[in-house]
Amino acid sequence: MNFDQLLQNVVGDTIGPGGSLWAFRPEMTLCATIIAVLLAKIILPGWKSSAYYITLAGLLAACFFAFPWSWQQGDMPAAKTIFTGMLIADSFTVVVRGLLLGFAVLFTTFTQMTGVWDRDDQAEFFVLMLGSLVGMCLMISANHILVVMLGVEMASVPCYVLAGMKRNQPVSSEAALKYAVFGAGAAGVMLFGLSLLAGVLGSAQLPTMTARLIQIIHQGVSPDQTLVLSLGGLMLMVGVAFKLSAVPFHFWAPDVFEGATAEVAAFISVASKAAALGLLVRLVAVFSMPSGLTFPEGISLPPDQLAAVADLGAVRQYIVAIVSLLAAVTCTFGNLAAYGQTNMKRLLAYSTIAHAGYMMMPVAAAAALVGSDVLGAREAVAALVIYIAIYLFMNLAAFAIVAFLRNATGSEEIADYAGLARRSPGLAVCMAIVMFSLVGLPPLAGFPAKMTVFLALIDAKLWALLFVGALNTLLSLFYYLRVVKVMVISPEPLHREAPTIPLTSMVGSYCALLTVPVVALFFLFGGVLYWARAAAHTLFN
Amino acid sequence: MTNHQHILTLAVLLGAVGLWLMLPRGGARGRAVGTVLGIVALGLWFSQFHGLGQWTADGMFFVLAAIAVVAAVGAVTSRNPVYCAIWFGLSLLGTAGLLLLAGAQFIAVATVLVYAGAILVMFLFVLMVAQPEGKASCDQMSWEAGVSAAAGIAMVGVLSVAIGGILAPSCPAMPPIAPPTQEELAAGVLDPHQVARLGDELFGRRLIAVEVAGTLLLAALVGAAVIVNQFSGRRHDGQQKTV
Amino acid sequence: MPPVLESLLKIAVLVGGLMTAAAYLVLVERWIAAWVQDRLGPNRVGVPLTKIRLFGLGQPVADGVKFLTKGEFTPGQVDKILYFVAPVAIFVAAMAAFAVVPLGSVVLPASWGFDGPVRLAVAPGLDVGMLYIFAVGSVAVYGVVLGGWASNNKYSFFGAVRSSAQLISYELPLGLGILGVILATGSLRLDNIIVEQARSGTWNVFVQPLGFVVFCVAAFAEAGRLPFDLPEAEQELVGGYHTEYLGVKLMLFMVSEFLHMILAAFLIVILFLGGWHFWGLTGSAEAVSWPVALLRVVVLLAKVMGVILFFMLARWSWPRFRYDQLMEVAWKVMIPWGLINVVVVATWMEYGVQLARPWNLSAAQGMAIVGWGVLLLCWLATTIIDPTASGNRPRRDLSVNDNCSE
Repeated sequence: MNFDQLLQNVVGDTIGPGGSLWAFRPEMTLCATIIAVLLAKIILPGWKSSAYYITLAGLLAACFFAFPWSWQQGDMPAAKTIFTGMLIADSFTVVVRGLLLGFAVLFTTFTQMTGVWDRDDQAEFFVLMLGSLVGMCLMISANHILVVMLGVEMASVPCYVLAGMKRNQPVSSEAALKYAVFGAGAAGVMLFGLSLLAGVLGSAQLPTMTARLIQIIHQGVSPDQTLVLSLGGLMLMVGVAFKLSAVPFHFWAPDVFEGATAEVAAFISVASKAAALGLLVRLVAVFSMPSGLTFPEGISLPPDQLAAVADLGAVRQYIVAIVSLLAAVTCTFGNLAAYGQTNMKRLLAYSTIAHAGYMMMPVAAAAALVGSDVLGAREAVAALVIYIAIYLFMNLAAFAIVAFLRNATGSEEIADYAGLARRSPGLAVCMAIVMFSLVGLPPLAGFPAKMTVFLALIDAKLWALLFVGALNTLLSLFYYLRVVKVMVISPEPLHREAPTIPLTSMVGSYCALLTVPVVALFFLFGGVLYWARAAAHTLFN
Repeated sequence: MTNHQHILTLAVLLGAVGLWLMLPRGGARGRAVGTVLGIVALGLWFSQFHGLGQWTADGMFFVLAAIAVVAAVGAVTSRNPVYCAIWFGLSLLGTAGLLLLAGAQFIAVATVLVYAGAILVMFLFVLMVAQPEGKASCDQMSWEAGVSAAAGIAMVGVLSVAIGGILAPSCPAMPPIAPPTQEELAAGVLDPHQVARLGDELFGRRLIAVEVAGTLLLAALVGAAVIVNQFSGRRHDGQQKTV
Repeated sequence: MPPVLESLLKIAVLVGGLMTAAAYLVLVERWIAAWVQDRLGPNRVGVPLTKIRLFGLGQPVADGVKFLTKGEFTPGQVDKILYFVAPVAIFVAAMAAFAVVPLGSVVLPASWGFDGPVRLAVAPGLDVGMLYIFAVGSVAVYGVVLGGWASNNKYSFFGAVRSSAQLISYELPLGLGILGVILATGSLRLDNIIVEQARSGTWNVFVQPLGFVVFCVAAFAEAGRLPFDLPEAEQELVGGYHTEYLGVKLMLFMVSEFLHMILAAFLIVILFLGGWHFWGLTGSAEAVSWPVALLRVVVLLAKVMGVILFFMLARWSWPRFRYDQLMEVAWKVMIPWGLINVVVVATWMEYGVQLARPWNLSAAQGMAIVGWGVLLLCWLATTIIDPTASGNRPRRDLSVNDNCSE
């Protein structure tokens, strides 16, 4: 077989709009940016900030390619598989990928402003960030277990290094090592689970696996098969839960957040989590609903689509049980553990864990709804997308303020924020807004985010989960308030002054820029809702 | 419960207890008893497999499987990290032999080449350079010996019951996996152009996975370079301080 | 003939032949050493209890008897188990690699009970022959590493550490050198590679000289021969990883070393020098009658002997590399060259016919021109850039004066 035939076989539909490569342009741009950054470091050693500008340009180009220019109001292109069924390109991919890329743009500027990276490390830092981003894009568009695995690995491996990229800091190295060891273990378990599923279901492509699953269930499943399948599913969930830092696979998160720089922590907290949730949605969507796209020939299926959907009822129940249990435990544990923290990054780590719990709730709701009410399930996924979009701004703003304060004071302890409200009121207000929004108080964007999630839970009649979620919102109020209290009320120590960062400075205005959406999205909620519904539009069909 | 299941349950229990006894738990004793129990469990296990009906193939299978399993147990129970690595290598060789027996030539050879040839040599290199004495106190202990023994053996038990086909006659609902016909054999295992077909598949339908793996390796390479730079930078700093 | 018996027969011939060859190659090596250094070399031992000397041909037998009858002494400080495992591992790995080395195919009379041609290799059916040799060769590292570690001796340990780093590094150029040949042949089978060269009449060395150079250098390094014999550099490390060994175990190490060299020679001949093919002598059909098959074996072995002689001459002609030079040759020269070779070959495989047509050349002729041109360019570029020269400058961070001035 020569090269031309190979090309013909692989990407017969490559060139032009509608081809596989066409839908893959953002990822290709990211890969090209990686190469460009590395080459620039060799070829143009004199240009010190080359990595930053090239990365930014590459990300903006990727955003441009990722933006769905051709969408009309209420008219989304149908989901389609690309690269011989390895990936799936639909509106969910497009929107979540857009969120990730947008986050990356903000994040890149943020790291450039904090300037934590030596000039020598900068290129490597951005390369790793971009590599991780490619992995995340693959995770959210995975349609084959190979891609699931490679995406997870590709998103994780650079993060391990990023967590350790802090010179002469044993804490950082220890955190990175811990992260890498746990991550490798979780990936191993996940791979084992995937291979069990693939072995029993006789395929590695997710929709085909679902088709086989329906067939097996239709013929009557044996206890042994149930055992292996549920074991496989459980092990698969271990890998996803690790990426989500869901309890009981959360223990790496506080240490890594504390050991790594605030910048890296922001990246892991937002991007990595969004991608993991995207993957979770993909897996839930594919295993709870026959997609009708790629049923292989020669598999005897139940008489019609409805019967097939009914056959998957047990699978959906299983998914709902696992995801809701994880969500409830994660949420509660994260919020309770956050109380004892004195380090701001550790507090945000537990806050991240708690929010992962909130964000898993709509996934459980979607899985519960999909059998009876597909539109409701889409609404639930839309709630998740809304939450991710708003959480992105809130958390990035929180970590940005932490990083800027660290640059100014060299400390990340909450106690050292005392007197901030007097010295730099603008920054303190931003922080307070973010904290209140993380709780979910109106009139801030956190409120509608949480509201849509709870509405989805009501829709799915998951009352217990709703109760846990509401209770947790109440719980979380106090530790977020404590930060605000320290900033505003606690007396300033005599020997040390809180830093003065006016909002008009470069740094201050960046924080303000990030805080504006936290307020504005409350009032512009309709727009968010539109995009979120667009994202969920092509799922479960 | 059939007779099979009784024997298997017994094998699982014996295996778990044996493994627990064999794992290094501080100064605890009982390795010899554990070894005996493990061997008995392995024997019970093997007695429940269906043979392939051909003594050479069966013999090869049992020998290779025994090598793989025993070496794997050795890898987790040795107190000396170098021995752990060697046992692991042996286990890989046994696994590669099983793959070869199953007709997966390329995977078999690739296993040896990649794991035994590159990764394990790297392990050994690091172990030897990092601790020439090979006796750190943390290597003498197994964390959570009981839990890991139970979990590992339970996994093996579940797998061998459910997909190992040990109980196949008693559970008709297993997906019907017919033995391959002569034509299928000729087209698959015995195909002289096996590797070429594997390549076609890999670089045809799975091309994107190969490319992604390449990108992953690039990112990992950059990461490795970062870590190395970091440590060499640290060393230079240290030198300057001492001056 | 039943297949089991056939296999056993092949194995017996192979093992016997290889052991004998290894023993006599030691003698040859000593003769060549003597010739290079203008000495006489071993020429005394002949038939025992007589005055017949036979140019010293009895020497290997005497050496073998000496090794076998030496007192088996185990040093006290060694790791007992691995000390015994190491020589066995390296010997087994060295022997096992020969299982797929083909000596051709022969059609034997049907009355002897053969249906179809007999392939003169122990495991002819392995479709991944080349990779198998790689895999088994990589296992041979264990012998060296374990031997060095188990000896619990500083010098042995240095040898082991050097060896593991060296062997891992040179496995990459080795693979890259082969990749071009495999691309050109489209098969991983060694016999297919020979048949392909015989069919076209063009040995790979003519069309892929760059790959040949890369592979040869890497094969030298993998076999641990001078100028790459740092693992056992006797002037610095006494004997490297086998310092603490004696008797039969030392003999196993020595024999394995020669087996590695023989294997490397076989591979060079099979991959690049046409295997059993010689123009006008051996034909190009895959299976032939026994006289031709015998001729082919002779041709193949003659070529192998030639390469081995080159190995031995190289040993006494070049000084040993310094360790950083060794690594730089691998990473900064050989791996880039290997990559260039792969790219050139792949491009030519795809577009060679179109590119060669305007000049009225066949694809092979064009490839040969391109190949030698690229080799020349690579050599020029390497001499100009000289990536290994950095190691020859004094290191600033070790310099005493610099530290004082700071």
